[in-house]
Amino acid sequence: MEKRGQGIQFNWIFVIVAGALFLIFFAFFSVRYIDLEQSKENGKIVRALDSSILGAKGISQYKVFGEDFSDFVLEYNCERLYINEDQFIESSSIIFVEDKSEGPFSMWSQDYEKPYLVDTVVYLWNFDLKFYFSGVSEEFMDEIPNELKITSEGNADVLVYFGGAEPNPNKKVIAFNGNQIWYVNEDKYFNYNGDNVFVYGAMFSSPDVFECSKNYLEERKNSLKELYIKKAQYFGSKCAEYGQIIGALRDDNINSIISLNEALDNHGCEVIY
Amino acid sequence: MKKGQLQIQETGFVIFIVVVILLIGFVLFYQFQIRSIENLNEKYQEDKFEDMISFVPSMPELSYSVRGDQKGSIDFYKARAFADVSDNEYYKNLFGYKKITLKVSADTLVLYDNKLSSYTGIRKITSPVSVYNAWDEKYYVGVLEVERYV
Repeated sequence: MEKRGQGIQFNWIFVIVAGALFLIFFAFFSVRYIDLEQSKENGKIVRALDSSILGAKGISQYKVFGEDFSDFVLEYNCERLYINEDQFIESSSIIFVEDKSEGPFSMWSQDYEKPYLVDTVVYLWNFDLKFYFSGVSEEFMDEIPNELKITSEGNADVLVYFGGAEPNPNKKVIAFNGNQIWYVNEDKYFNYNGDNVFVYGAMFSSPDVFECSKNYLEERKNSLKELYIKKAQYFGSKCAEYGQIIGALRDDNINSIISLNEALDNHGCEVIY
Repeated sequence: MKKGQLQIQETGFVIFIVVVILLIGFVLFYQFQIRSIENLNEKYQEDKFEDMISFVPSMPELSYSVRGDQKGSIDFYKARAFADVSDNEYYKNLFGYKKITLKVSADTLVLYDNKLSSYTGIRKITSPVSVYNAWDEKYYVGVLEVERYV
């Protein structure tokens, strides 16, 4: 009787251990399977985002991205776009976005011209973000897409001041003064040339992303400037304006570049851009 | 060894084998799924590479424009100038390990070349393009080649 009791006890222990093993295996399998499915979804989101950005670069436009996907977090380090710290894609576009932000996103693309086309930059920001502007010009407001949510100072997530500003730990605060962009809470300053593209860029991006995207844009502009100077040099002997436009290009004198380019066209000479 | 003990050992061994088979199945399934995710990414990169053949001619560095109005052709003299300025970090980030060549009439312009030090092969795509030569004010048919070092 005692031996039989031990046998039954042993059977129960055996069943529990074997059952636990199977349970652990299937629990582990389920967790990994969910991770894999999430990884697939992240890959789908990042590819769709990249395609959407490339599409936005074709023509200046506003659109919404990510409404069809479940909650996701986008991280950007100026080279790669990461979704949920998992799948990534190398981005070849100039993007202004926070280094880490949640979807869905508003996406706005805008041509940057000096006066020749440099690039179409893409701004991305959380669809629900609300902005407050103080001291901005009418021209600045006209450029902003109507879909951008503008509200009072108290309700806004991002405060944009042309002039002085105070730090606010609960909101993002950006101030523009003369030739400087000031990330107020971080106390970081950047010089800029007054182009609105950098104002919008600062509104939508964190200081690190802003700095590198601004550098990329300036690098491309300088490459294009060199390229147009070389083109003008090739045709130098044909018309007098080529010498002048080389000077205007070197000085970034936009009005002169425009008028000299028109003069070249009017005199039957090859235009620069 | 008693008959009962033998049975228990046998059952334990069967369970052990079943668990091992399940684990192997799981590892294979996991590898297969990871590979399928990687394949999707590779396929997307390949599609992006093929899209370059239409993206490159429309870049401001190459496209022929009059007062900012794009004419849908490559400007031969911009292309020549681009070949001289393209060796910088910006374009290396934009194009990566690739070679872009424009062939028009007797001229071959290497617009960009950034070799992968240990490349094992080259993927190449070509497309006919319209090229405008402002010197003689004529349009020519050229060939744009984009090669990817792999």
